[in-house]
Amino acid sequence: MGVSWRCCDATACRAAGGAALRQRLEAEMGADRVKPVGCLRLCGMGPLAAADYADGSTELVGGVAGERRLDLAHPFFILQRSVVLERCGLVNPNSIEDAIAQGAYAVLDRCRQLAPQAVIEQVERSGLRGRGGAGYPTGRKWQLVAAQASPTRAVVCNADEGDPGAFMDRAVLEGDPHRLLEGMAIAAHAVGAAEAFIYVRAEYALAIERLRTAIGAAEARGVLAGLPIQLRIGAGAYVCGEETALLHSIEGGRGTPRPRPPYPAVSGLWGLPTLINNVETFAAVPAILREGGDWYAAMGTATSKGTKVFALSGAIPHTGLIEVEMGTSLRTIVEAMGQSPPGQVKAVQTGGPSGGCVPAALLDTPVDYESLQSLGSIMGSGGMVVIDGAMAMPELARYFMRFCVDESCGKCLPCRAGTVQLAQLLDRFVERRATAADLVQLEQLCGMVKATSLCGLGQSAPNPVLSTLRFFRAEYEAAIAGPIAAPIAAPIAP
Amino acid sequence: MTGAQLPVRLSINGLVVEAAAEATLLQAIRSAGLQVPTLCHLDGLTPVGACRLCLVVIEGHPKLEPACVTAVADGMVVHTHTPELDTYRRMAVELFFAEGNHVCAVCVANGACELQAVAVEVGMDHSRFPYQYPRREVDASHPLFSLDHHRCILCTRCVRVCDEIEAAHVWDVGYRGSSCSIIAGLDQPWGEVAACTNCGKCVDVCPTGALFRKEDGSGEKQPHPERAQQLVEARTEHHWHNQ
Amino acid sequence: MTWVAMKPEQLPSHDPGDSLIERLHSVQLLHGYLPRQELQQLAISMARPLSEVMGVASFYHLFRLDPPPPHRCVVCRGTACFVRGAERLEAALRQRGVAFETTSCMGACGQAPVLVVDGALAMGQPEALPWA
Repeated sequence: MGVSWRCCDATACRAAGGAALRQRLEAEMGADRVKPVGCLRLCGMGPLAAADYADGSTELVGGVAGERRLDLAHPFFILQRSVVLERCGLVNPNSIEDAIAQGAYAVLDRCRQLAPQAVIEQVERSGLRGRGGAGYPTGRKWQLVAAQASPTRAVVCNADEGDPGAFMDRAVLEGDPHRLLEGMAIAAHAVGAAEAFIYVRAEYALAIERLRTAIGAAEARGVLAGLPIQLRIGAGAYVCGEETALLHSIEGGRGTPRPRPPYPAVSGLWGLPTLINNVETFAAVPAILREGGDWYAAMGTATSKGTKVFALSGAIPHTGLIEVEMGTSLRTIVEAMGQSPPGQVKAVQTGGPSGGCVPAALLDTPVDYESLQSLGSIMGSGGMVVIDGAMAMPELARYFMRFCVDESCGKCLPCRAGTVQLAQLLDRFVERRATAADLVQLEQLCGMVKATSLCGLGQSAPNPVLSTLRFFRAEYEAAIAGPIAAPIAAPIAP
Repeated sequence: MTGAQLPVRLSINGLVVEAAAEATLLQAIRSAGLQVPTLCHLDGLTPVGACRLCLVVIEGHPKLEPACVTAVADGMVVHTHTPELDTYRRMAVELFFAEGNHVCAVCVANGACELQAVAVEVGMDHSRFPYQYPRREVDASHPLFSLDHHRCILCTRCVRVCDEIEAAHVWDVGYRGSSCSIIAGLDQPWGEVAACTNCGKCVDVCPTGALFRKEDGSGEKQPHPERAQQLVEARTEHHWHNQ
Repeated sequence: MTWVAMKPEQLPSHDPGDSLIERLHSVQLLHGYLPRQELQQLAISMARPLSEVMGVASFYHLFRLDPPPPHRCVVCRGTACFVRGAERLEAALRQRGVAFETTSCMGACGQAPVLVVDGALAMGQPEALPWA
């Protein structure tokens, strides 16, 4: 009878005045009819609250006074396919009782009855690939860790979501933390790990608070069957998203990457075979084990299975969080879901500082690992920033290069010194005082930094430049002032 | 990896080379009488793969691999010098020169500098990248030695020799990215750091003129990079070099 | 597998109290920054070299080696904020003489551009600033 309200209590809606909206609703309806939940997806219209009526209908409103009624039949909502986010926005993230009532830890209990190999087999069948960006087959990684001859192993969750424009993992951590813990516990059972760590960036204060509460409650209830899960807080270093840097940081050191091999699966935390997956990857696991690997593999494309969460932001009316089947076209996401008027989008940036820009002409590209890679961008962790005509591409490239300059750890020369030179070269293009020789040098140095840097940060730092050079070269050429100047030195052999 | 393994055979620049199974690619390259430039690597210290000069092409590998940390494998086909590698190495040396303040003519290490030698080896006589002229410090607080940060290339040999061989760990890398610098103690003047034993091994292994003895003038530094390996052999194999 | 074993790590306890970064967080929580004296104490109590402790403390952007100003303003430099005018926001702050720090993406991209004033996240339309 009556109506009950779900109020988004995640970072974005809090910033937009979520507390005021909740207080109003509680005053009107009574506190027992209002519950805090995680992300309700359309963050840009926040603060958001959803009303569930007795007849099963739901209404979504936005604004501090609940003044905007939002259309739940809009493609932004109906084209979503919630797997990772299936409980996010429904469950009270601070209540383990609510999570359990909605199915949390049931799959873990079932998995414990299965042989570890049987669990890994389902993950392999699902075709799940690492959602942190690289897309390594998750099942194969689990298999590799499980196969190591070692009395014990470790499981690590990479929650150091640092790509500018990415907030998928934060939504899971803030909205449904028990889902991550369950996924990690299933993984620990599958690979034979006796301890687990979550490395979360310090900037995610609310996520850290929710995780602490969730781990405490899960341990008190004994649902993790004795698996100790430790929280380790970063201290502001993007490079710690790189797995070997992350391990150094958990060990208490400088977050500098080291050459691989050995891969962490062989020698990771304190030398133990270590399974590292990111938040979204672990969070997909409970649903896969509940419904079966084949169910998951039926979604998506031939090589990119299942669903992917994206953080949609930038120059677009609908900003927020979406989970869609792999293979959905960028046009569907940007124009139908994001409601961007046709013709207004200049490009879509995916993959953050490691990714690139897909120009408007190629918006029909399906979102999957290979398609984006073939365009010189990457799937990345899921940040999707829409760029409109107001943004000049050399400026966007410089923005990402400056980010890499700030975040380079300084260990290897090409990344430490090369990114500085690249950012200065890009200055010349932004300020329209470049020469033809600068363009040659820009491309050569991009090639060198990409080919010779030690870790993924340096190797991918040139991507935003290379990608905008590929599709928006005219903007760089237009920035070359005066007549074509002679190269300042003999051209380098190709 | 148990017990002694049979030697492996690999091809380096078309030459068939035999190497111990546990050897690094760099060891195999050098034992075959071939050259690949290095700066951060030093025999006797843990390799870090940071300067990227020893990158080589291994057929079948999608990426270039640093020879100093890559193990040999039977049947490996390696190329140490390709047009691509030569280009990258020259650019790397240019980046080294552009990021610090390297003025050979007035440097203590002139003529005995590994950075200078590598520049000659790769044919670099000037940097096409703008020199950054960073403002850096000179630490002359130690009674015997000085550290001129302008000439430091962050190879971390001093950090490793002090930690791994002298076990004093006076040095470490501080800060991040292009602001990285070698620090003593809590980033304090070297002379104040009680942990320093005045052994001078950091000076011996420094590839440039960054660390030097106070009595050394221009071109007078006599580095002893071989000392790290000699000490390791003495300690682990009881094999002394009586110089 | 072709790899050479790196420096063998000692096997310390995995307790958070034995993690240097966790301990540095505790010190900063107490003092607002990392006083040299405390770093020295930490190195002694953990039996770690001074330069290693300093190397770690100076690596991470969120650790402060100097006392913080009485009020803190942090501007987000995430992509969404950049696309939606964070540079204008920074210029507006500079014009008004407001000292501020910057941070990489805070993940509040839906509200871009954003800034954090004394720990509270705020939407940073330049004209809506309290200093305007």
